[in-house]
Amino acid sequence: MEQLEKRILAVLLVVALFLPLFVDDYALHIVILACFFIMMASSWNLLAGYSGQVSFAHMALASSGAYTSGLISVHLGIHPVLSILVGAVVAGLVGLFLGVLTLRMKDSYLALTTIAFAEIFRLVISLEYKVTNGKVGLSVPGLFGDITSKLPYYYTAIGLVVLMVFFGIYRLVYSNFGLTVRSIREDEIAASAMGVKVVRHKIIVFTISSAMAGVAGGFLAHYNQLVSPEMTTITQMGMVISMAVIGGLGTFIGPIIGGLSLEIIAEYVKEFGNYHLMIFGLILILVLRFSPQGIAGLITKFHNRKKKKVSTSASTEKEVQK
Amino acid sequence: MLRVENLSKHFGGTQALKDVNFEVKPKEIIGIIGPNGSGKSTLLHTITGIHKPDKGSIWYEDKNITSIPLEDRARLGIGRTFQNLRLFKRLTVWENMLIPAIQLKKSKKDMEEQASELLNLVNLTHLKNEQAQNLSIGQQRLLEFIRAMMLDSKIVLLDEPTAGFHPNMIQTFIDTLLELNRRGKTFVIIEHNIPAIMEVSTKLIAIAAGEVLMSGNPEEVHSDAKVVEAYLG
Repeated sequence: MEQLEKRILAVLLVVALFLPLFVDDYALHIVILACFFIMMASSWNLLAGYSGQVSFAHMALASSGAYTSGLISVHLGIHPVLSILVGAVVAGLVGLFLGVLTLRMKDSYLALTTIAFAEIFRLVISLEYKVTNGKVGLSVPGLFGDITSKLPYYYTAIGLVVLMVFFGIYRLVYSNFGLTVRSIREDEIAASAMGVKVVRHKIIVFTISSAMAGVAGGFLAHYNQLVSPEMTTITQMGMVISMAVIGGLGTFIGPIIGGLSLEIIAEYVKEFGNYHLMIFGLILILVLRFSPQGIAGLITKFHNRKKKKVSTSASTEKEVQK
Repeated sequence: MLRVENLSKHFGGTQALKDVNFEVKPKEIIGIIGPNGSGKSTLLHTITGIHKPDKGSIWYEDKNITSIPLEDRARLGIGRTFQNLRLFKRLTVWENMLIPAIQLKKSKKDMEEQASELLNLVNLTHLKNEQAQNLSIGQQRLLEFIRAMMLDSKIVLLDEPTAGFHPNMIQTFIDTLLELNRRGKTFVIIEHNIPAIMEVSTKLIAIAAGEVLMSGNPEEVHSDAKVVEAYLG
């Protein structure tokens, strides 16, 4: 990870630590939702940004974790902390199954198959009333009970979960496994010619990112105390993709910046109803046009330019002194 | 070491390879020449497992490898480069070098020592932290060449390794190739640069329209009337 990314992360961490002292409950609620999207965008970035696989099933996989966690906590009385973990395992297994089926496909074929999977999943949970309560959604117990009085608990809990997800992604991306995965993103045939077992690595990444989505989905379910098919819509998936791309695909901090900024913008523009998607679309077009590497790429560019300027003026000064 | 028997491959109505036979012995440097579209790259793709042959078999160290996947052939010790460069462009030179070694589960110390030595051999050490895409074409070709060596390949198949080289760099490539050959590596090289291929090859194979026209001593092949007519003009 670049030094600049580390510095930005440190600043964000300090801000997050002291945030509850300075903002009201509603703002804290928005940050909790942003944390959900940050986890989703970061885990999708692991898939698309680092391994080059564009999947549209990520929200469906989060939803599978959310429903699993909700259902077992409702029917078996298991504490949400444990049920979220079970949900993550199930989401990972669903991801593994989907990965085995689809990851020999490439580009648009993979995208289309994952869209089909997400839509089938959404239709099944929308039309099924006995188990998932259809479109109405399933009421599930809260992680700490009532939201309003326990908001700081939820904030702390999601903060810890986000840190764990980040730690997992960091360890993965900056390991030999991560380097191998990035080589697949660059060129699959060249990677195979260098001895890389491409499909196996893709499936492992797909499974891990699905499990991470499952954790995020499970947490959101027990925060909202409701899990509904709304989570699985293509619009929600579009939000996650926009966050990762606008933030900066293939960078560590990109999805954090994207998730945080778009969730905050979404709050300001939500009064326009579905038109807020147009605003997101516009931002996406502008970012892709002027900074294909996203906001993170833009920050790095400015930072490098500044660094270059400083070093040039320092060397000029030295020459003048000589 | 490597034996190709009656290898045939067609794409639609085009016969890219027709009953190709040849054998590579350890420490040989085999040059393959032929006009554009004669099937040279198809031959390399088929030997390394990118294409499945329609007919025939490929043997490597007395093992039939015809149906094993590309990555397993690489792990067995068959390295290669590509006519159209296939580097991991956004990864650094150093990272490009480590990827093959990681697949062989080498120790960190071993892979770093090997990568440093190879980079030094082709004078790319100063660029180790540079993204591969920022290198000149010649430097990228050299990187692709030494990256293949990181697989501890016993045999390396090079597809037009000097294409896009600055004339000065051709000598660096030839010196490196001969040095690695002295250390026991075997090479099969497709090349249009006739003086370079004549300088390094121990045997030359001429291909035209997917068929082997002639193989043998480089001088003999080079001056053969059929080969001259088909390729050298």
